[in-house]
Amino acid sequence: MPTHPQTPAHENAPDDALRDEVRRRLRATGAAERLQTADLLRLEEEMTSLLADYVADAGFVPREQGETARWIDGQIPDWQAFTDEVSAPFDTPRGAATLGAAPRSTGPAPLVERLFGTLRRDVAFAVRSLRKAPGFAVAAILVLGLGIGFNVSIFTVLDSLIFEPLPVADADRLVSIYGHFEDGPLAYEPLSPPDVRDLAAASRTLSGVAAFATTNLSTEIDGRVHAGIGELVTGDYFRVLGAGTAVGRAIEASDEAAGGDPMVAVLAHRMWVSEFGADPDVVGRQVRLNGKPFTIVGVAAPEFRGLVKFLSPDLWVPLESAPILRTGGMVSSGDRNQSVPLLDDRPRRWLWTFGRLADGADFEAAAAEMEVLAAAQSQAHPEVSPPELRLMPTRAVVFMPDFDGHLVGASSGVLLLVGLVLVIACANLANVLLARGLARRKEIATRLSLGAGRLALVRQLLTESLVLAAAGGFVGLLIAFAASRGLPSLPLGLPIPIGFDAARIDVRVFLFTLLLTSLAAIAFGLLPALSAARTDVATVLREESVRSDSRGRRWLIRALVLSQLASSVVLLLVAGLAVRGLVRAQQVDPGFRVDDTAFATFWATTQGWEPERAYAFYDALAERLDSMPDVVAVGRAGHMPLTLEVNFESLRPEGGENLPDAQVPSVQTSSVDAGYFAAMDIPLRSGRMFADTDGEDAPKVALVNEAFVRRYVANTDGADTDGADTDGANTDGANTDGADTGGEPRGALGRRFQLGDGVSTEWVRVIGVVADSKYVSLSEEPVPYLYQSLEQEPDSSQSIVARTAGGGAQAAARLLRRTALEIEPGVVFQQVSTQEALVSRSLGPARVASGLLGALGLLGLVLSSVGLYGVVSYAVGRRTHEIGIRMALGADRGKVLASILRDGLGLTAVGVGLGLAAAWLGSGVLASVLTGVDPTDPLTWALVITFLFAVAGVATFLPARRAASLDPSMALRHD
Amino acid sequence: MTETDLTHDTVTETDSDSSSANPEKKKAAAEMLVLSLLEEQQRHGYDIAKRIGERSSGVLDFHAASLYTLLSRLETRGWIAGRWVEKPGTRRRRFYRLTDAGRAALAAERRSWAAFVQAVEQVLVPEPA
Repeated sequence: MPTHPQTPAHENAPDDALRDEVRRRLRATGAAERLQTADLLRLEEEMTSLLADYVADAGFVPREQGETARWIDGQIPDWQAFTDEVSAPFDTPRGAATLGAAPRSTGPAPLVERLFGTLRRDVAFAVRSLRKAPGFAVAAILVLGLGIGFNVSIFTVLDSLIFEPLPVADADRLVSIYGHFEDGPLAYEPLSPPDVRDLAAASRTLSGVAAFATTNLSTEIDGRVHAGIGELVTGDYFRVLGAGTAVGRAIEASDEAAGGDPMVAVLAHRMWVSEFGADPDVVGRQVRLNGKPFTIVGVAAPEFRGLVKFLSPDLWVPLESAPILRTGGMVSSGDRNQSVPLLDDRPRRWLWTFGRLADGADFEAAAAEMEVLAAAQSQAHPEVSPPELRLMPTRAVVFMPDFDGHLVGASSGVLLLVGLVLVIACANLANVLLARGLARRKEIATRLSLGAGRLALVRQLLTESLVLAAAGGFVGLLIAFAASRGLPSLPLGLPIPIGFDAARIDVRVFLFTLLLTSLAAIAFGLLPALSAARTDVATVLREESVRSDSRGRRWLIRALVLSQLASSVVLLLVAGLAVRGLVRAQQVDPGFRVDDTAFATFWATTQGWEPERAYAFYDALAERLDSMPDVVAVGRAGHMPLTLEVNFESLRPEGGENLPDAQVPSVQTSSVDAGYFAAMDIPLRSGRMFADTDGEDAPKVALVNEAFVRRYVANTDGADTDGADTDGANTDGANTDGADTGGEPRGALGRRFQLGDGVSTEWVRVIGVVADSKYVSLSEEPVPYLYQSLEQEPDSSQSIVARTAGGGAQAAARLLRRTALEIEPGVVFQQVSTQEALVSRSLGPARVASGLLGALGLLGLVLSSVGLYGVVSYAVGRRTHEIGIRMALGADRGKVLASILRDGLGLTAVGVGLGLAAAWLGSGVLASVLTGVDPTDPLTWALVITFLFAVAGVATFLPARRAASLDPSMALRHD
Repeated sequence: MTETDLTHDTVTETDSDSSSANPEKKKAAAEMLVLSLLEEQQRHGYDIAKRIGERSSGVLDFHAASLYTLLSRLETRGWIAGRWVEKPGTRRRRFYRLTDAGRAALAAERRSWAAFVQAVEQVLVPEPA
């Protein structure tokens, strides 16, 4: 050791020599492995300082190598005893300490016990060191918990909605069978009952063929009536699926043979529990479906909810019940004239069909057979049976093949967004751990130099990461549980029971996310440890502080912050756009009167009524209401707007009768009476209303809306040649470029159209034009709409609309209900609602979506601003010494502040830029998640950018101000 | 010089009755010396050792090890509190001050010490006949 005469100027030199000696001796006692670093450093520091005083006072100046050491040994003869004594209060629980610290002296303990002891000691150590940095620990655990919790709950819901395998035996052997017509409305169509029967009889590659159709039903149990859904199924349905029952029997082939007499039903498990209290003797009890008595023969297995993943039917009934229930085929126009029995009607294709591959047959063989069978069938029944049968593995079908693309696309979009939260969470965690790791480099180096084994050190850091991950996982689980309670009660406002089971945590998803975040925790927790272990211990320790990070690590940290910022830009944009869409939709005028108005909907089918009886009831109800002094207007409609009851008809203008089917546009229609427009307060723009003269036998008339006129009348106006230019849809865009002459409603009057499938040759004449309103969603652009006269085009399902004179909408709804019950005591209400509720319900999904997306966006923002704050604080901390020098040399405080802010905001700018670029590129994906709002809406983008910069500014400013307000002398000494 | 018993468990020591075995007494005595030195003013470690040596005219002499052990124990127990002080031109040192708990402990120790001394005197000094 080089020595110097002791002068104040060199006072520290012998201290260093002393320190080295002290450290070497402490290391020999194993103190590094049993003491907290802070305690260890304190011990070393205090001993050095104390010994230095002894040295100075004794006037001892070491003159040769080893002299210091000998002197120290004179002062402290037994270091082991000394260390034991002074470290006792700081030790981990005594037993564990002995096990780990001096295994040699305790003899060969059993291996398991030793491992367990080590583990316990490591965990205790990790918990203690995390408790010493509570801010860090809380941040890391919360980040993990939110990331895990959110992902688990969203994945679970979507998984159960879309991706979950069918709960039937050997689902892989099931194939779905669809008909395909060259010019059909769907690429994958259902089949008719006779086609299904022929298929079942002819197929050799399928061991069974079965089919089902979903239908709305009124269910009456012990006098309680409610509207629900059921499935009509063929006798082989349960057998082919291999779906079991919890109680009783399933629907069987004998039920099919019995022709629907006696009428039987199998309850869904959910229904059995909620309506029958899981009564084990339920078999033999009765339910009334659409007013007809059915006997319960069984309860389906709990996990079985039918083949359609979204719908959760209340019960299953044999297909043969369809005529009794007056359902099947097309519910909305089921009362149309029919001479052929429903189940023998080959042109009516309404059954969703599937089969099970026979032993030894594979998908290709079945597909080949279907080709042959389709050819034979369509030859036997040309133009009626589909010329092509298409097969799909049933497990690949979500809802209907034609719509699955959208569903899966939208769900994937949502998963992508949720995944971004996980990215942010992992990046954040990585950042926090990296920063902490760097800050602990000196500590790690000290521990190494004091004799801690590298393995032990790595083990301890690993334990710390795992303790974090476990705590985060626990918090995540809590969040997921809370979400699973909350999600099913979200007011989606859908008119059908949605079949998902969110009160359940998907264990696979939980483990997967936990694994992912734990891996991130471990990787980034160990990185600094390993790099510190590699670095020359002496270098790290000699350096006054570990100010200089390696270039690579600095970049890693920056890259992590950038990824967080970019991800939160995307999340915030989506959230902002969703909220904007909602706000916009809320401000939309639905185009009809909302206050003081209510309606009640009735279906003849669910009452079990013949159409005539239904009409009589509607007439009586409307008449009774009309005679009431409080009621200002009463109207009737086949379909109410914003209820998801949508009816399309193909529309052939005069002169376009011979257009190929593909070019014939479809238009939304409903049958209404004149009172409807008065009750809904939809003004007449031109022409006249329906009148008594427009009776059943009079020429057919219609009212259209202004959008209809713009699209189908505008461009043929004046150029009224032979109507060849009827493809008005193509020129629809013209009404935006100022040439809006077609908006002139008068031109539409007297125009004639053919509605329907082209078989009818009856003309419908436009007699009036009414104002546009909203029909399917509040966010839609004005769409063409055609109203037919209820007299001429009756509908057995009707809604009666009543408007009162300022009595309030609720009063109107009560009036409707009471009056209907007076006329028909047992009447089943499909729906009673105020117009206000109608509008607000149609916003339900948007509200939920924007709430969820908003929460995602905020979560992302919070996480990434925590990340940014952490990184800037850390960077400022690293630069404190430099800042001190600058300020000591007279740098202006403002300039120091500005330079730090510049750094932080520069990083933000790059991150935001990356995020915007990603959002721009991914606006297609955004559009799949959002409806009714432009994904590149400039206002939203501007707000998001401003907001992010504001948050980033605060996250940067706080640590910057702290640094700039430091006393230069303190900053200089800062380690 | 006082040889403190390093092998003895510190925990039982704090609970021990002041009139028990000798090593305990010695340790308690050393503790008392330190506490009383800190009663008047804050001192750093070596200063304490030196003053004990001076006051006892060299009879009590603390090795660095014993001194540090003692200070560390008292600090852990919350009787004294140390802080680093760095004055221009001097080495960085840890200064200790007496805490309220330490003051109370010192008072208690003094009482029991007086009782002990009295007892010893009663034995050692022959009773007047």
